[in-house]
Amino acid sequence: MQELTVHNLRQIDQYRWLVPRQGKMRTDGMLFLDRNLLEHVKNDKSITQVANVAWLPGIVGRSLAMPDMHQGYGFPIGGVAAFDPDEGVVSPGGVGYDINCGVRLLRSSFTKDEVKDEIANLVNNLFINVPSGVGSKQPNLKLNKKELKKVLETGAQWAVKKGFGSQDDLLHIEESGCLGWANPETVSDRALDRGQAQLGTLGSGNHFVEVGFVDTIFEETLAKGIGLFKGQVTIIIHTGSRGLGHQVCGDYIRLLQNAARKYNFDLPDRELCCAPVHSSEGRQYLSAMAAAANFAFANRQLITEEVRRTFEQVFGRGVEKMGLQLVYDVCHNIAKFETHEVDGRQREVVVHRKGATRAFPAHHPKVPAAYQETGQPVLIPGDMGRYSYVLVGTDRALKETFGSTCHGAGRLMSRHAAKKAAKGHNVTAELAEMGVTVKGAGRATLIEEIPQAYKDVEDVVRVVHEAGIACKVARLRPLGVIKG
Amino acid sequence: MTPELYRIIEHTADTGFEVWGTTKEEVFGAAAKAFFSIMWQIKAKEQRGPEKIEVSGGDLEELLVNFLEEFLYLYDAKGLVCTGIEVESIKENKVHARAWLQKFNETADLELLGVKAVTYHQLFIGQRNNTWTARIFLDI
Repeated sequence: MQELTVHNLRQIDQYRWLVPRQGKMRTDGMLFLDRNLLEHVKNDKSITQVANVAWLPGIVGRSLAMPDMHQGYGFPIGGVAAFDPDEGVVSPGGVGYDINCGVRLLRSSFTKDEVKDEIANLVNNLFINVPSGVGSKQPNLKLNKKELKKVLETGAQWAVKKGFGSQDDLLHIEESGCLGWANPETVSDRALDRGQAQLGTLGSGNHFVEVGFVDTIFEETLAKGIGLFKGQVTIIIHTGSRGLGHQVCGDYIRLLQNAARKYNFDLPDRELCCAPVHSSEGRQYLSAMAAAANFAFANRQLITEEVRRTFEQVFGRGVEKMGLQLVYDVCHNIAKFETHEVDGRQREVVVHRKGATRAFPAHHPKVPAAYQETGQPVLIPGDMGRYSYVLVGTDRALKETFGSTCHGAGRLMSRHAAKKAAKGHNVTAELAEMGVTVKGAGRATLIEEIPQAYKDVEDVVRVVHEAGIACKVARLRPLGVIKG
Repeated sequence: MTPELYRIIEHTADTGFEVWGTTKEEVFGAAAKAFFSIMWQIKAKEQRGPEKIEVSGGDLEELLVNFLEEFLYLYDAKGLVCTGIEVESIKENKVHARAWLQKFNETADLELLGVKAVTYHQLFIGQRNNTWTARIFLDI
């Protein structure tokens, strides 16, 4: 064991850094980083935020941070923390504004060579069929509030019931695409107003639909187990709960700030506001958060159907023939009741994952039947020029991180710095040279999201793989991307 | 809009801004204007009268967050952008303002940044040497 003076960190091994309990912290923090990533992290306040989370009442185990950690609001992005359902708290800052922002992966029976001449056509049609951009609206779906509340209650199940996708899709979504404790009555009218026209839309920023292919297989047996082969065409969809989720988070930050005063919580940061899990405020937040999460599940389900329709248009073949099946759908921003082993006994905890992915191992009861032998697929998108990863959950993740791992690359440059770096560059043309056709709703977004603005996702994935909190299965490279 | 009304503060993943004014009302107005210019580029201002906006909040910080969030709501839920703002008064935890609103024009106007929310992260509003200052970070 090695002593380090920076932030009082203590290095445990090559990829683990302990933030020792001090002051008002109730527990230690643990960071999963290599030395290089640690240097990046030291430039912001995210280590302090890991320590701040350890202040919260009823925290179980350590305050954790994944290797893509960076400064967030309240909790760091990449933060994972579990709380006792009786003594502990729930915090909107531990989930984030984009509730159930997440990723799903579709596989196909196409090989890269079979689609390469149609990529431009595919991207153009995806851009037409999947509404994107900041205030994007879905023109083909008019929902009244009553129907919207059904979406909030049943998530992706609502979509399948309405003919968007199949029962088989539902089997391949975290929590089967529906958090059962959702209560639409805890969602404000304002949130409903913001969500009403946005179901089935991508939104902006780092959200995207990407057509790519499997360029590397790391574990042949695991890849086969989740239906992936080298050269295979895949589709990634990355989006969340849109304005509805943002409004729910904002509404409950307001409410829970009062709750924090009421319950006399000593908080180092306003964005860490929280309420006891079993208080009326805590329960309301959890019900509203689940409703927003369900909206996001339904949203990704509808976009999946638009992707399938687009492939049908372009290739003139049926979905089944093209093998456009859902591999899996994971949440990146969520709080959930889960059962974990803590100090030798199984107990229920409320796990907050903010910019982190559930990574349950093989034979875990929450892993779908199809992946009982492989472990749950974990989807880690990278930037739009490089690559994304498919991993599976591990026993070690279950033991050390409440079954959690990283979620993405994380920014390296501010938006302003990205703009400066992109000056004089034709981003679209340069990406085309790299073999990636890109179409974005806003030129500004495209520039702010240039590959150089992000860390290399490979650096992040290497750490979780080497640390054993996920296992690399395959790497995907982009061919065509639509950006919000 | 005069650019010296506000200063952008950027960290790796954060976008925020700082504004100044001689009164609370002025600083709220400046914050709103900064917020609008970060979010949109509006090609043509329509000639029509302002609408009354009233927002409340538990304290001055919450009031500022709620005030800016109001425009995010109007945009997301109703497709309205704000081209002008006059903050009339801030008292008893309420802000009264007049806002010039118009429909976002998909073909002419530009969305510059997708703002998800106005946050409490490092939020500050207060008076230093007769100058009111506010600092706000946005979730992008």
